Amino acid sequence: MDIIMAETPRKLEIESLPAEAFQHICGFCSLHQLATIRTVSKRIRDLVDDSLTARNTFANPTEEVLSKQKQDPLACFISISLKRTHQPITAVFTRYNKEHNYLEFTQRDSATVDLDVDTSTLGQLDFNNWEMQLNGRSKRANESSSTALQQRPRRSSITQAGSIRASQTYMEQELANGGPIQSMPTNQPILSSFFGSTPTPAAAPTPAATVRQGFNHMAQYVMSTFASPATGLTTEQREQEALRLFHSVENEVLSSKKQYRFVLTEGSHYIGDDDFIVRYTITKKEPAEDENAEPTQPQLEFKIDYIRASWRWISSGAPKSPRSNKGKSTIGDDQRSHQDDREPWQTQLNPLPELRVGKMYAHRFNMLLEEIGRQKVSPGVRGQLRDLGYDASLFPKKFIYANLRDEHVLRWITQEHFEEADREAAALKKAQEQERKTLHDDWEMVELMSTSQQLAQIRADRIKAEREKDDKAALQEMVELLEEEKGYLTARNILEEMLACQGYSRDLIWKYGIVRRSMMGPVPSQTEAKKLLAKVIDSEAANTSTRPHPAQI
Amino acid sequence: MTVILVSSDNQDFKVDKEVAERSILIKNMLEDVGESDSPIPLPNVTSAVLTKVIEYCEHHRNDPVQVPEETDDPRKRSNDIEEWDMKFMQVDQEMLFEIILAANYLDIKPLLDVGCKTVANIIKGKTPEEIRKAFNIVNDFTPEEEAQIKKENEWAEDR
Repeated sequence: MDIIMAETPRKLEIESLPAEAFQHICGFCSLHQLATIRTVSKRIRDLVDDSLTARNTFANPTEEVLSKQKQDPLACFISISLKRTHQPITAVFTRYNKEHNYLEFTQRDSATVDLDVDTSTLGQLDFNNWEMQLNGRSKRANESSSTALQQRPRRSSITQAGSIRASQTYMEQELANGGPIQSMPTNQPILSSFFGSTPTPAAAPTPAATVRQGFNHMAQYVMSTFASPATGLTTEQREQEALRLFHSVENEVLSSKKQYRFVLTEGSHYIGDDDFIVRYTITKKEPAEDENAEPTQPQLEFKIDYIRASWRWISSGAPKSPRSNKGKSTIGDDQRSHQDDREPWQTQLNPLPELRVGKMYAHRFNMLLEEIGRQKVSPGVRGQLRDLGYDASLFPKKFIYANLRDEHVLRWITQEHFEEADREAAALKKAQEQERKTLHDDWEMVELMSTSQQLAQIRADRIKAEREKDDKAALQEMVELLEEEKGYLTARNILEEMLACQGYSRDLIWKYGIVRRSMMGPVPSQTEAKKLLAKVIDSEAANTSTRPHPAQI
Repeated sequence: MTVILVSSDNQDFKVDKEVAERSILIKNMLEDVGESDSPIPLPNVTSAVLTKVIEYCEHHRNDPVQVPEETDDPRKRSNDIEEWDMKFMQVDQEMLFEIILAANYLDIKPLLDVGCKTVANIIKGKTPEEIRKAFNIVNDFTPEEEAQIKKENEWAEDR
């Protein structure tokens, strides 16, 4: 007897849901929840990744940049605080690039920035996703009930008022004390001081007469402190130093996260770090001419073209946590190891896996590294450092000889040329379509159209060839400039290396505000660098040692 | 006026037109066909699922039609399920997914939303292992892939 096996219908499970239905489920989950879900299985991971790309539809449904309170709490967004008095500029999550695993945030409307700083200002990036949601819930829960809502123990991106007050007290103490900087407790804002001048004795806040209008309490305090004749600075120097310190402290007070120097000149600029790239464009907005009105300063329009960030950087934007090697340096050694002579980096797909910027644009990043290696930029940069008085042996052979996060480098890596090419290709296509529309069903016209298409193709090929040529020329020019400009190295790069060479964690660079303010500048002289290094090391020693520092006795 | 819906296992369901038209698919079909007594075949929906779908549509027959553009709150929350809907969704997982599929096919947005919210609520607060257990999913990541995905997800971990 034949046994006929009845085909049993396959049991419907979550993994067998069609993608669109699964995406709909994902629509009700926060990014944080999605991160958990995508670790469940491969199929689920792929479905979640697809849903992230589609998430744009509700991340910002009205296509407007809403105020922070009105944002979709499920959507992830980034705000940039250029200075404390300014409303943060917000960019909303719009895209997930599956291939490179980065998230893209864009701002659709420019923000007008009223800044009195002419060339640059410090600013910080604050990544926010569901923290605000939790904060909002907590607030509501506190209002409605005395029962506290159970929250995950996370560091909030919003600095508490108490923390600000505490940092003021610390700053007052710091300015009153000589000797090294006292580091702040964990998660507290970090103190700042200034380089090249002896810390001043405490100066009582000066009378209101010296208080400048338009500055908040923190700025006024800083200015009044520097107004003390004991500093030995001229009035102009005092004011400049006060403003510089104000920017530094002000941002430190907001949080202990990294801050970046935002260039405020017209045009597009890049800011890059291990895990993100920001491209923003500044345009000048001239004030309306009105004879009766008082002359006003031109305003700047700040537009975030995009912020591309890796998954891991999203939560807090905090610097990498120090490795558990008791202060000994290993951070950044990943970079060195990949530049080991025994293993040519140009053969690797991703030579600097720790650098997400490299990972995002692996192909062009490798092209650049190959060119740097081919043109032997390294000895040139080392030679220049030697000319500045640095002991060449101070920097190991595998020293990072180029600042791969420099604006010029990022601009080339992020394919501005290609983007432009895409735009032109789109314009060309549009023109062709327009041309096609104007033609009729006439044989002569068909012939003409055919010729026109051929011509268009030739033109497109020519544009492409020119573009590639320009791209190569831009790369060549950048590499040459790299060598001329000391590898675009900054004080930060140098000090990180010096710290690492002496067995300290590179993260100390972020721990002490004194370095932070100076780190964005060009390569310092050897004397300056040594002073900064000594300051950091002394401060760290004072903080890690149980015995009181001599200056405190 | 009534219409006859035919499930994939050839069972007929006589329902009010008003109720049937909660499904945009059926509504469009009726508009295309015009006045007709012909039964409407629904080859992707079994009788068991169609029974549940009709029950939902009956209960919500007087609800205003949801127009996405007019929705005040663009936020997608999963904790705002009505009590009746919550009880309605207390079914086994297979039926839950069948309802989601049917709602998607029949284009009944509110039912699709309720189904997806229910699944999202099951997921919420669970660890990956708990999610696997809840949905009977096999972890098919290799150790290397698992390490990679954990690395990618570091941003979501408490630090």
